[in-house]
Amino acid sequence: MADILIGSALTNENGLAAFTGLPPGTYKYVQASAPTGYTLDPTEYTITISTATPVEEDHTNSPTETGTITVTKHVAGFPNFVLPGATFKLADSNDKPLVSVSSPTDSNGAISFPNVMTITGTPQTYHLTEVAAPAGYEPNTTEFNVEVDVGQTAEQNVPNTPSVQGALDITLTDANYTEYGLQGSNYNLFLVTP
Amino acid sequence: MQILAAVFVEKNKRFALILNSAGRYSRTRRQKSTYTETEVVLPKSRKRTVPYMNHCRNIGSLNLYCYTEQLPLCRACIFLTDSAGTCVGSGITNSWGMVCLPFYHDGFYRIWAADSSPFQPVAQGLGICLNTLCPKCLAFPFRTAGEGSLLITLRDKNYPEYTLPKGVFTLWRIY
Repeated sequence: MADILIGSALTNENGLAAFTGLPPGTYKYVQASAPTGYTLDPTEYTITISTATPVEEDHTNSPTETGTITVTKHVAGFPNFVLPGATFKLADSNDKPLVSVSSPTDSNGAISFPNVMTITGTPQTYHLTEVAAPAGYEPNTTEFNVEVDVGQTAEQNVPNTPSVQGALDITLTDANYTEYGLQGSNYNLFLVTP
Repeated sequence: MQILAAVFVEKNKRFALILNSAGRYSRTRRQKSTYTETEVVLPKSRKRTVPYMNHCRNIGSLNLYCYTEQLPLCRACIFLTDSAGTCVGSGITNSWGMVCLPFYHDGFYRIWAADSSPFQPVAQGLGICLNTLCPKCLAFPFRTAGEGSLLITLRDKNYPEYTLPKGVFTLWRIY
């Protein structure tokens, strides 16, 4: 007997396609079409239904074209003072998360999101927000819109302000007359990293 | 006169199948060491009378293996009827899904099963030719009465947390 077509189902906002009311038996299913920007999985899958317990299957599609997002963390006003230990949320333009909480920025203050889906001629926009700031820094609550082109790396700087801001006052005086302040001298300040 | 034909347990209750002098089968419930007739178990569509059995004759036997898709089915109530629809034997499958059904004449018989929730017989009324001199073994399949379902979740391969809407899947049944 030939195979009998049961029907088709479309994945919903949660990526779920459901076939219900299936009598016990052997079935096969295949992906008929992929979401925009993704490549269809042509594999034919076979399942057996023997009980009323739902058979749950998980499948993935790869983006047809991709780009990369790189985030750099630094101290506000000090671009070279990078900050490790910050985590981010990356979401699509509808705020649906690709990554709810990323791994922390590395010792270079950077984290990368490779292979995000984008489309030639229609760059995709992603929302980037800080989940946790590095210890000792105020959270950056800005939601950054990052546009990603095919094959390109979109870079986004996310500065942080220190929770406690200190100050350094230097007084230069004449060595013999300490009341006499010396005007017009420049000092350079360096951050000594551990 | 009543003849105890079989004793079986169904849903944790003990029953006996009794053949009385009128040739009728009755199912009973055991109460305080006595059997009290409570209900007739044979389906309405089948005759409830049985012919006189000559016990001097050879008794044939049909060994039936009842199973679901994966496992032997125990406690299934099985009936054997002759070509006229008369019940000639019955039994309950054991823990290996086996039941031995006796019969007294060569001929054509049918196998019937009572509902064994959540399983239903696939081949209800299966016909078979039996010979008293030739014991026979047969498999009798059941299937789940409940309907199943298939749930497919589609995700981004690189970001599995990100589920993908608007993917289409097509399902076929294979025979």
